[in-house]
Amino acid sequence: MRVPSLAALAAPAALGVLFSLPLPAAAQPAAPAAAMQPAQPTQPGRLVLPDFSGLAQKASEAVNISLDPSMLGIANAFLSADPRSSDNDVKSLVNGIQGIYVRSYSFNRAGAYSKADIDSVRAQLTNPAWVALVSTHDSAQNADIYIRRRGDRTEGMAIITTEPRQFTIVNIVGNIDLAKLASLQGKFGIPSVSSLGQSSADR
Amino acid sequence: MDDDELERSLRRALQPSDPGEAFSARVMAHLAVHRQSSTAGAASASRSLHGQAVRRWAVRWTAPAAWAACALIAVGSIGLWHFRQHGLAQQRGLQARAQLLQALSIAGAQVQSARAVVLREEGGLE
Repeated sequence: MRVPSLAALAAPAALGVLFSLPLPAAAQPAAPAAAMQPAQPTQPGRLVLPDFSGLAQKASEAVNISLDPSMLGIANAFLSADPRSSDNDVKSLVNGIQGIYVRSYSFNRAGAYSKADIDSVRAQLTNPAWVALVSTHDSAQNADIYIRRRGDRTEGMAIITTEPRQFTIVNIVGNIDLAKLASLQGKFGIPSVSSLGQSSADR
Repeated sequence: MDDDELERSLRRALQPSDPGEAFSARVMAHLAVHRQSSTAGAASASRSLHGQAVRRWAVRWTAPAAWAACALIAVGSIGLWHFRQHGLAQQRGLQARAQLLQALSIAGAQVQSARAVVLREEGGLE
């Protein structure tokens, strides 16, 4: 068996392995506002979301939802058992989804969260597999909706909206029908388009 | 000793003597005591036999009764554990369902919001 040389150990892949090992406390760099979660996502449409647990204490509203395939299966089972007809729309929408991850935080003042964390998520969407459906940027709001497709199949969707005092990141893994998602307007607290005539800056 | 003397000795020995006035009373008292002691002995003998029977019955059935009680406790504990697990699973499922609905509502609202921004930039709402 060939013994790897020091030069081989200097290869980028090997460096990646080395730097993933825990460093001594003195050698560790200053931690960013929100530490990145380790390892690459195993599912193609899944993003690596920062750990925003430190923001929860500062936020006036915080939503942190992580539904992996097993939890989605449990939730779907309870949807099926529910006799209310409104859940049938959700059931048809959830079929094909393999994971839903939501991070949404609202603050009482502007600048409470680090834009670098949001940019780290946007950076993952520069992958050619992700296609931008909507990308709007103005002083009041930045909104990006990306779809990851493989042939005719949708592998994931990412929604990133940021305002001075709040941000929302939604990552849906699997096949999601945007038309069905939009059809949920008026249900489960989803506003309809006509009620969105006012921008958040005007509120 | 000749026969006449032997006879005279025997007659003297076997000659009835007066036991006294209290003899009858002594005999009657002795009889009464003897009668009481014989009755008590019979009762204690019967109690001893009954106790032995009870002890034998207890020894015979104590172990199976203990096993039955242990089995009942075990079955009851397992049933209670399953009931509690079912309740926890139910709670977990309802919580997952609530999170799913909330996630979809947030996603739908964000899509609608982005759509409204696009429509506004295009000069009007549908």
